[in-house]
Amino acid sequence: MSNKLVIFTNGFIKNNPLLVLNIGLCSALGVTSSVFNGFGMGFSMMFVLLMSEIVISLFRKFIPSAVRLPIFIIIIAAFTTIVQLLLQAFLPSLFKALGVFLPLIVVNCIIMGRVESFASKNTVINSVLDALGMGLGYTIVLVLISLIREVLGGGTILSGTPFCLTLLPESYRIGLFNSAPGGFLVFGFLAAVVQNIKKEKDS
Amino acid sequence: MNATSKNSFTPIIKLGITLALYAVAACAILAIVNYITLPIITANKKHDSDSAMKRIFNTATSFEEITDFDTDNNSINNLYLAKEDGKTIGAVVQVTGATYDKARIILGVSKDLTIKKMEFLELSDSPGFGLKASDSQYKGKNGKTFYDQFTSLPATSKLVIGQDIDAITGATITTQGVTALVKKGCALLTSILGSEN
Repeated sequence: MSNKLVIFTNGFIKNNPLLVLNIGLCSALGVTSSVFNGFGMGFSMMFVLLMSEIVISLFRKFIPSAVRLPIFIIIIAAFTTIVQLLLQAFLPSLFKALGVFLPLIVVNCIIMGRVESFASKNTVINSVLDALGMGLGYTIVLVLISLIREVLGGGTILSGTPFCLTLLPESYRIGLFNSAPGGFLVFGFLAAVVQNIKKEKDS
Repeated sequence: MNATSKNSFTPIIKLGITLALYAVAACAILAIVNYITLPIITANKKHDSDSAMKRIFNTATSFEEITDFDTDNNSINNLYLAKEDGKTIGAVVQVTGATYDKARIILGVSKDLTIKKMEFLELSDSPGFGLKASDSQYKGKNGKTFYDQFTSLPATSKLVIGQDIDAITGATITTQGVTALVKKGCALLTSILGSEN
């Protein structure tokens, strides 16, 4: 596989940020009670990750190592706020739909993690591929977790959109999946599945 | 000349200046983006509250602003009388305050001192919990959305949670906070409408 493809697919299974690297978990468990929320958070985070990796990769030769973490935080926080302001002004309906997820992106460990371990040491093009791969890996896991949690716990799918369908009658819903312990359970199960896939690939 | 102390300071100063430069650059860009977007965001907010006002009093032909009232530290604003052909049919006001995070609501009370409607302009509570209060897809025990529960209640009602208002499961603080905002708005609107004879 070409180097570029390796970088891009790195974030899907081999080094999936949530299930393998185990970073960015807070957001994954907090916003996955519905599929729409999972999508929203996934794509907003991917956008900020992409912009942050691009900027930090561009400036990587001008960031002294001793103060690199504060500088990363400044850049990531500035981008998140810029995205917030731009959305609020030019795409207010999308801004309202994403709501509280936008400010939450700043504390998403995946962005800090990838910027520190990849973007600060690689070219801009490779950083773009890494950001897209990690962002997609993150979004896919988020949507999977929210699919299970929303259908089994809330009984609906795509609630929060005009396409909401109710799939399970109230007595068949398992309330556990709506709360944090349920989220952990689903997450643990998915992590085990991915570990199994990786073991079979390596053997 | 004390060469050692001079050498140990210079790198730190250089680092400090670099960090400061990044901070200044980020702030400058943020200031520019804010400067560009602020008028648009303010206009959007005004448009949202104007359309909410017209939704609440859809038969009103004009709205007259009242500025002479106690804004309670700027948490109550945009007080308007709704008039149909010159006659007052009700009043509408915005109340901002703490819920789990915070909320900005717009509340309309009719001339006969019943709540016409309440709508959320902003609510930043937790999705899946407090945010359900503004969710048009969330239906409580009585089949209504949370905010529609207030419609047609008397504006002088004590709005007791559990009696007049159904709380949202897992979002007690949000329920209490929003109800308190509605009560505050009702108190003001009742006194305004009472003296508007």
